[in-house]
Amino acid sequence: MRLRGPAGGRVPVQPVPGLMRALAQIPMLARRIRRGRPLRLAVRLMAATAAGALAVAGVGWQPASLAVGTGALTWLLLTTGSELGSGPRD
Amino acid sequence: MISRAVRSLAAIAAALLAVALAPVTLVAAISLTAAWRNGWPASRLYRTAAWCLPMLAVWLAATAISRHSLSPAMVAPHLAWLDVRHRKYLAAAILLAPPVIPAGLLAGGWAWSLRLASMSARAGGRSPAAAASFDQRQWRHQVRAARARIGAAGAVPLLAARGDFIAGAVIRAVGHPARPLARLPASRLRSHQLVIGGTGTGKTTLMLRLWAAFMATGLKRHAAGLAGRPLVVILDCKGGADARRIAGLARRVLQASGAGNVAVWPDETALSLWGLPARQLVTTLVDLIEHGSGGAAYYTDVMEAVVALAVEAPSGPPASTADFLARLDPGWLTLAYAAGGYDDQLAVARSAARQVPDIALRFRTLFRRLGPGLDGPGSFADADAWYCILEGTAEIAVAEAQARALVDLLASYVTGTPAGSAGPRQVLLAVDEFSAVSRRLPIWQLYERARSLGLAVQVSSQSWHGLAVRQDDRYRLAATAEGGIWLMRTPHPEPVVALAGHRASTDSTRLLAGWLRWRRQGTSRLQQAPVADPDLVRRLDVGQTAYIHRGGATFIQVKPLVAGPAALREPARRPTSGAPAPAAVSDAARLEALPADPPGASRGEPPELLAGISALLDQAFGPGPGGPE
Repeated sequence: MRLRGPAGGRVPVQPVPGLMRALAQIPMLARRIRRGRPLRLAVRLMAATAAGALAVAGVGWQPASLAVGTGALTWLLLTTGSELGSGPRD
Repeated sequence: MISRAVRSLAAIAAALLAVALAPVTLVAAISLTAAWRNGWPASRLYRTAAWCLPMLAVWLAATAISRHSLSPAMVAPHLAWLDVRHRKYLAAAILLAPPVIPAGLLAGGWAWSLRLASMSARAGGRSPAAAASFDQRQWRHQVRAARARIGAAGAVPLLAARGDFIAGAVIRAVGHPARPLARLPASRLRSHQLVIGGTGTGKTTLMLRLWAAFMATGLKRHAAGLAGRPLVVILDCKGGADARRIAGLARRVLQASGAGNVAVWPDETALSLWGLPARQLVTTLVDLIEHGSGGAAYYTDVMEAVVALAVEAPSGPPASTADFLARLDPGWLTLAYAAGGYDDQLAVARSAARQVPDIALRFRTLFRRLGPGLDGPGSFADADAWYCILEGTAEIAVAEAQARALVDLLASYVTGTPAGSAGPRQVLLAVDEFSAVSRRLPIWQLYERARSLGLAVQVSSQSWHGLAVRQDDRYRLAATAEGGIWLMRTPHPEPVVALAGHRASTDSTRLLAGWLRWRRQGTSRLQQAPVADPDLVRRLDVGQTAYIHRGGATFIQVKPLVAGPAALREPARRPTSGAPAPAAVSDAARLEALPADPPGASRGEPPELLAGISALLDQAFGPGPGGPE
């Protein structure tokens, strides 16, 4: 991918280190999911999704439903680690 | 009468408030039940409430953005009440959830802390025994929750993100922070530690985790240029088939932690006793032979003089067992010092000529029993980890001599190896089943001085009494365990528990009002209770340990490392030349592939660097023959 530079010419885009690092983590994450408890992880994911969906279905797109969705997401992020397999440090 | 009325009014007011704030009460009740079922401390509920802040923030921010005011948030309870009246329970719950969930958690945490405090002061419950049964029930709940925590696949990594070491899940903490996971600074692994626990308590599982953590954290420090490469030396003083099984486990676990090469001594590799500097070699050789005191001290002196003559001969120190034994001959000694300038040594050789054959006989017997494991070639520099199997159950005298020699070799290696660019090597000496060799290995002397050598010592024993022969030495070991004491199930934990200290606790009495009826009236007083309850230690299950450090105790369910038993080969006979046995070929090949380790280290220590080692080791181990009384 190339972007237009200030002078109208094309400038090469350097790879973003953070993004590359995040992309490099994907195979690792997949391996950790495989080595962990994927079924439980799926149940957690579904529960969080269901909570968000129920909130929107219950009161529509309101501040409260957004907040419930945020709460479900926070819970998911905090508790997912226990369902993943061992990482490189383990 | 008036106070009773005031209490009744307060109870009615509290009940009315609970009804008025029914949603908060409901959340509080649920959180209270969860805390009771899982044995959580109140802080856990407070933490969960804190994690609800993003939800609360989003709710307030979204309200402010969409309605240009925060006042709609204030009428949320009213809107929810209207939804309830129209039987829209889901909508009511969603409208109330953002403020009610954190408030309920806070209320639940407060109520739970009151309950815990009243039970801790023995003021709660229907009877005075209620507090004891509550505590036992909570212990069961805490154990169940901790087991569930370590059962989760990736919940308990070996190292935390900041390099801390995680031992397992916390069951209960007294005087230490109450966290879900037992996270300890990696520096504790580089300090002396004690592990005490009977057979079948999970001691080996814990130590495997400690060794792996030392290796992993050591490699991280080495990679960061903070220290030299780590070295783990494990002396398994029990021996037998079980030791070989554990050696296989240790090899897999350590290699998984990053160790490049794990040597198993003496089955697969050997070490060279003859690489020791001459003066240290004399001390070590004399100490290998058990000798008495009193009148027998005369023979000890004669033996030491003869060994010194054989080792410090003008032709250089012996290079092997056979070389040394060949020198224990009156004719050889006389001839060796016959050249001019050695008149004193020659006189000693002539006067001790009658005892030399007896001394040779003793050493011949000793080396036959020791086997070829100390006849080299090999040095601790050759591997990242050494698992040394000493047959302390079958041949206790041999194990004692081997332990003495190995510790002397390690101390000499540590003091004699020049520090690399990153610093000296990080060394852990783990002595498992120390009681088998404690009679002749006064390790507490090394224990007190090892920090200056950059050497951490980890001693494990089945009981307090197995730590050393004398009570003073046991206390020295325990008192200098800066890295903490791991206390597993043992029938006599009192001496160790006493080291953890006491804490102030409230004890309340209750007035007996009739048959199995008690009134609330009574008195309370402050008393000192042990930080680590000895009865709790006696009842610990497999894999549970009390970690005692700086006046606090954390009860931990240790997370076992996942490693299947490796196929260790049967003890192979090594060629008499001392070359690695065929069984160790793969290890040797990998060893050759390793870079020089540490930089600048060599197997033969330069004599100038080793000058004075003997004095240092004498200071560490004591110059006198024999072990402690």
